[in-house]
Amino acid sequence: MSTHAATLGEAHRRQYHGLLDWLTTTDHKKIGLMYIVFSLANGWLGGSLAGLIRINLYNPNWHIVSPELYNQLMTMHATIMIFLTLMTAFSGFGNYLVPLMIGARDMAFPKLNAFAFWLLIPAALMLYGSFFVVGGAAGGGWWSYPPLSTAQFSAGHGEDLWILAVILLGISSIMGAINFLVTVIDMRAPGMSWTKVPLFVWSWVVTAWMLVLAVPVLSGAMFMLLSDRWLSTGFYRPALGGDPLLYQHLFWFFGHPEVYIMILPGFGMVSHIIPAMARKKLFGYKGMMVALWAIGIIGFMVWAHHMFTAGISAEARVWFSMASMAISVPTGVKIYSWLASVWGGVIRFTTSMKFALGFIFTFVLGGLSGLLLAVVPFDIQVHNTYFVVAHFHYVLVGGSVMTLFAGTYYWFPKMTGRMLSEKLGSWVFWLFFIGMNWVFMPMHILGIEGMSRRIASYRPEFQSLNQFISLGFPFMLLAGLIFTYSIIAALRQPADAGDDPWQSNQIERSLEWETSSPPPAYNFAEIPEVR
Amino acid sequence: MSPDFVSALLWMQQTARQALQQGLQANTRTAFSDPGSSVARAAAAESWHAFLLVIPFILIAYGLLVYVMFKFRDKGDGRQPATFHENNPLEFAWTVIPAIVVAIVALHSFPVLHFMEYGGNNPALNVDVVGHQFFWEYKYPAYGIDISNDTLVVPAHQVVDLDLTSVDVIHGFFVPGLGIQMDALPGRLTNLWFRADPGVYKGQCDQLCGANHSQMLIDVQVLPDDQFQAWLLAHRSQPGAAPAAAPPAATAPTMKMPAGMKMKMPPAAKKGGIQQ
Repeated sequence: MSTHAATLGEAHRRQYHGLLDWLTTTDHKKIGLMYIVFSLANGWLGGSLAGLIRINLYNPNWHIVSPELYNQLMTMHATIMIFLTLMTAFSGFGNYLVPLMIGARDMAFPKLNAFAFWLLIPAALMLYGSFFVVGGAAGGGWWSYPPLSTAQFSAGHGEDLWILAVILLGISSIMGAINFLVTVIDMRAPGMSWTKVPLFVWSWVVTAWMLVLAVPVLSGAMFMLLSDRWLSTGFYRPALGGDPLLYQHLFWFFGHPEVYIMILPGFGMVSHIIPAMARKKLFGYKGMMVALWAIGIIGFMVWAHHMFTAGISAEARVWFSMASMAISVPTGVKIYSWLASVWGGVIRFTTSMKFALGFIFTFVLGGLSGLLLAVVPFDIQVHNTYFVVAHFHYVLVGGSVMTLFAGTYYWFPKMTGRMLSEKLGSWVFWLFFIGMNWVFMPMHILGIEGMSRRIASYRPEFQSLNQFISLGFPFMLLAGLIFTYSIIAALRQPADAGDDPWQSNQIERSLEWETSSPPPAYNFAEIPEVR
Repeated sequence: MSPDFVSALLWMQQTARQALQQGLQANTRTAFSDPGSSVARAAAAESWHAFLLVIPFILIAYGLLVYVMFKFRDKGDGRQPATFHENNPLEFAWTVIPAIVVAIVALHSFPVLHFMEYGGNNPALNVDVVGHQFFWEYKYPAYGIDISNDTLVVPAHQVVDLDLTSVDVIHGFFVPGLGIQMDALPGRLTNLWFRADPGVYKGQCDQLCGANHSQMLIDVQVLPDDQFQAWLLAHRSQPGAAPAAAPPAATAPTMKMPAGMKMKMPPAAKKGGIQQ
């Protein structure tokens, strides 16, 4: 397509201006930005709930919130952070970057893309609105295990709204995932064979497969739960011949791949940032690609390690223990390959690089505490304690959120044409890095000391560490404030970042840096060729 | 100095002293701090085995990370970056060596898992543990004892076998000092065993079970055998309880009900139980 034709195409697609344009757009870049803004807003709301939780846990006798409300806050913190913040953030970066990186003009199904985004809005309204229905929001934890989540024990409609929201979010994720798969399979630039696909795109291919295979199982489990609640079925009700353990298997068959869904795109981002900032080509591209697939495939065989104390047989636990530990091998390959990518390089300590290296620090701890949790005799000692809380926050905050910060600092100039302040970025990094380790590191100790998770109040001997943990929260809060201010401040600057502000293409060619910042609606005047 | 300032100082000193005393009095036993059963000792030893094999990998990764950060930072001396981006022997090594270590960690843990699962043969005492929102009910079928919202009392140095179930939602029976944790699910029977040292052990429900989940505590008292027999005598022959010396047929666990059958507890047994 010539430049002229492409411009005409843009004129044809932009039927409205201003707000109406955003509401009707099918442009993958605008949808991607909306995903990211949506994610940031929900990150603030979900993070505020975490703040309330930490205030409540500062003193076991304060009872700032009732135990019912505590359970709701804890449930909604997890739901918002997982479904509305992390998944949407990676969808946003994927939407924005995947077509650019493969040299396409848009996603394969632009309208489906917009539909998948707009489904998030009713889902979010249902989740937040559920705080205001009789009985309040869902309070059974984000696993929502029956029988606690059945009508007998959670009669309020908060639970129903939660189930419906999760189903809606699942539909949105499945549509998005199919879109990613078709886009990458069909619309790669000429010459971009599968061994030349950038790792962020690879990470989204694996993630999309995981979404397509895992999320329908969750939706099915949710429909069965809803049906148990109001249609008198007995899938999970022992009195009718059902079994609550069935739900746990279905939920975690989704729930464990979900963890990788929330971290693999982050792996992909870091695999772009580290080479660019170390000024050296990525080490072991093929090993990285194989490791992504290995994590994606083995990730489907480990779900019952969440159920080591649920009464499943010792023989089943042997298998799930072994498979869970096996995942640490490809994960280790990635860690070592990133370190080898830095080895011999000339490092620029930009904010994105600080976050990428900080991510390695925190993720190593999160990954290896996960390996320990796969050791059944150890798991039994700390299952459902704060050790697990520490572990998955090291994975999701130390892993996913750190990579998202890194990706934001790295691609913000491409998305907006403006640089984020590196000076403020340094503050964001150090405050967040210190804050997150301050908050989550002592939780390992609390767990080993036997403090259960999901409790609104605790025994007095746990108080001093809990107070210490709560005092770390303001650091993360301040980092979030500076980060948000930094974005707003940058948007008021002129768009003068240039096409390739990090000189990434001098290290390793990646097509998103070959178009302007921000890119035109048609992305590339000429579809680039890859040799 | 103003009196306000002095009283604030005194208050701070008092608070700090209280916190210190709390810390010193903390006696939540765990399998790591003070294992109180053979299961806890085996689990703690196995955990340490895993720690010692895994911690070197944390240190290696952190050592490399710190090294590359300082060694390869841009010193502004015009050094050119290296150009290598592949090394098959290296990649083979960092795939295979961790795989071998992981296999050792896994295989070494399975005998311990087997012991924790199947090691409690010929139990001296069977207790049926029933989870309720939000208390535990302990039934000693051989002695006709049924207590609720009370301390679980068991003999020391003998195999105690717990059969767990629930009448409402899923609960988790977690006593860190004994190294045991198992869910109690409605419609299912799960099993735990331990052989404990004398002492008092704290635990709590470890599976979110509703609003008062955090108040669903567990206390286990492990008594020397003579004291345990005295406790049994004091509790077993109560009017309305099952026969004191139950015939062998009645000593079988009372809760081997078919899956799906809902347990129905008389309201009296639910709240008060047979206490004295």
